[in-house]
Amino acid sequence: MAARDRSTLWLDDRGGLITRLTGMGDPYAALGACVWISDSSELDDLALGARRQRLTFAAARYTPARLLDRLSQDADAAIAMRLARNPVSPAPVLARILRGDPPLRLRRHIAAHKRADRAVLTALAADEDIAVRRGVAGNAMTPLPAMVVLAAEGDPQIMRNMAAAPQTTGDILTRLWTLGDEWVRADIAAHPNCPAYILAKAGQGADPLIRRKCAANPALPEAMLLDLLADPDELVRGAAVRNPLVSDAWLDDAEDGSVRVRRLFARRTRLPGPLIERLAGDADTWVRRWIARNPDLPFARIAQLGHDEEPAIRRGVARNPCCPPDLLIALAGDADPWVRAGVALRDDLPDAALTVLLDDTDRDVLGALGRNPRSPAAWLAELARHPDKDVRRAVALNPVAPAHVLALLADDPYPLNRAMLGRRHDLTPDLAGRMLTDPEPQVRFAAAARLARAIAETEPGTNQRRTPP
Amino acid sequence: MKILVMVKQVAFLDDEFEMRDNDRDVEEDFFEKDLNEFDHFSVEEALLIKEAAGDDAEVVAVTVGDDDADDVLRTALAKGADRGIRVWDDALEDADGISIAKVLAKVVEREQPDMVFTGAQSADFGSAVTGMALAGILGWPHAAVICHLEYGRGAKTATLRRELEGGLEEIMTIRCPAVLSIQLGINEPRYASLRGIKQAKQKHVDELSLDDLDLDAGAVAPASRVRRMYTPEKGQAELITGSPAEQAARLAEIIKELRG
Repeated sequence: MAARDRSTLWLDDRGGLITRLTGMGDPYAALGACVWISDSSELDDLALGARRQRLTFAAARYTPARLLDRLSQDADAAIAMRLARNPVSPAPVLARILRGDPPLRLRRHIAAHKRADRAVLTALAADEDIAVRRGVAGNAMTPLPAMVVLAAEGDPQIMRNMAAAPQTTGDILTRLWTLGDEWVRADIAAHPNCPAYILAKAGQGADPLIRRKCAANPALPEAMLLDLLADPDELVRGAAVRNPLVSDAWLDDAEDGSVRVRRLFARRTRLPGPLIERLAGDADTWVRRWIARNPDLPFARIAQLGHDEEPAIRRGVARNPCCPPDLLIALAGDADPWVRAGVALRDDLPDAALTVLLDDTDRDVLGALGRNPRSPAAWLAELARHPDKDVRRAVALNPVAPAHVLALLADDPYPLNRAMLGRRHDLTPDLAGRMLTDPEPQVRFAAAARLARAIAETEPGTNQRRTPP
Repeated sequence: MKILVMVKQVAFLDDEFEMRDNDRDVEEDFFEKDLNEFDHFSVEEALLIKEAAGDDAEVVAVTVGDDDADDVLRTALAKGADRGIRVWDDALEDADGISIAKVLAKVVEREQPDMVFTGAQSADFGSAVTGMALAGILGWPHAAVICHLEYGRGAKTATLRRELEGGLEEIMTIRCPAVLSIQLGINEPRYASLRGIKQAKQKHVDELSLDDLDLDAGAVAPASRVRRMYTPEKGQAELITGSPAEQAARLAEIIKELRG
């Protein structure tokens, strides 16, 4: 390993990193380090110093919960609004905002927030505003007693939201079934907690919308599912085909005149042999396109579809995990670059196919090779200097790209490529140190987070076991 | 050969924002600022002409703005512009497009370029007036919304295509020097390399005041002013569900509500 330059010795030292970052005065780098260093008031203060930064970071998903909590102590109404809209704001943050008697718009956001806790939602279930109560009714975290109270309101939107909420019990659904309109009943028919007698009514009802939702129910009895697979409405049959409860054995004799349903058959990964055979010869190109990727497709059919006149189907074959090596080698020389790119994406690429593809000039093919762990390091270094930014980015996403290749990308003119590089878990501290002065804030954030993580991992104690948000 | 490219620092609004106390603009904390998107294309067009012309061609980026606007000049310099000019005076705080054009006209007179490029419009205010007003003040030929340009060193004319309504395009020959406003998509703007960004810090930026340009506050006083900026009230939509009879009843109710 090369000796490290004296100017980068601070990379190994927590205090040195904090001094360096505070000296830089960059809030994005400070925030990146805050992900792993949770007890530096200097970094916290730097990250949340200016109002512009507080506004930005209150809305950001990457801001650590600790700093979101600190932001919630700010009396700034605009910051509170951003926190209420931020999907990663933790429950205590939302609870604190609610204690501040927030305006209606803010209460609406909290009512629909996935991280709002039971106490907050119980309080909001009694809110004077109907839109707030509707939000609570659709929130998967709302406790049952509050749901029972809301169900009694008879508001159509509350009923609709409750019918779709995962925690709604069979008792509540039964009540909603009698009170609600067809939209409410359709959602009830799709609900896993839907009582059996309601499911039976829904499956045999005249309304195709309700039967379609019923066909998608993940707790549907076998007999009902079989009936719905033969429903006269193609949308109902389609929903039944997509139901994960459908067994391969039921589809042995499946024939369907609807191309929409056959396409859904073809998208299933597990299919009985006779049906695969029939679908492989289907006149519809979308059906053949999907079935071409099916790993259970017999070799003879794979070979047949590998010569299909439609390039998208040949690409499907190229992406089929059971495509034989000789066919892959042939497809590596296909006239259509999208087919060749399909071959180039495979990490089980035969050497002969790789040799053919390394002479390719199409950017989709080169991009696929750039991401491929089978591509030789010397070739990746070439691709890292390619004029096309998408090709270079593919190298940044290659899981086994060696450090000297990644170092080339640290100077990439396209900011997104550098950002992708910054997100790599194998980014070396030296390279991260270099990227700390990058002009792009997201790159500096990622570089600082990488350096702080490297230090946290070497320190025994709490930081070592932490996982980033 | 010298090409002047007029660039602007524009503001992008956050989706939540607050107005200033005077209700004439958005509070600055809710802005992101960056180089106007159209100007990326006009800078690129100038650089392509420069690169085809050879070493003695010069691209000069010009902006009107306070210290903050240096960032957009540095962006143009990092891409390859040779030098920058920034004009500022507190009297320009409320400047409109015509005031800015008056200032830029003085810069053009001082620099004597062979060609002037502007973006077709600015992404924040979208008036599309500065470039054409500049041409009017200078008395120069002009063309707007250019989507293709053929122009080389020493040429007395340029041939260009510009976009018209209804998908039409117009091919024009224009006498040079001229003021051309450049449309998005005319080229593929480059990204500044990290080396370019570092070098841009060393490149020269002239900072000029109104005095330097023989102008005074009266000469650039805006002919228009923003009286109020606000978010208009949005209309409401309601999905009417239920049986046909229920839907008809609700519709009748809404009509009654609206008619009072």
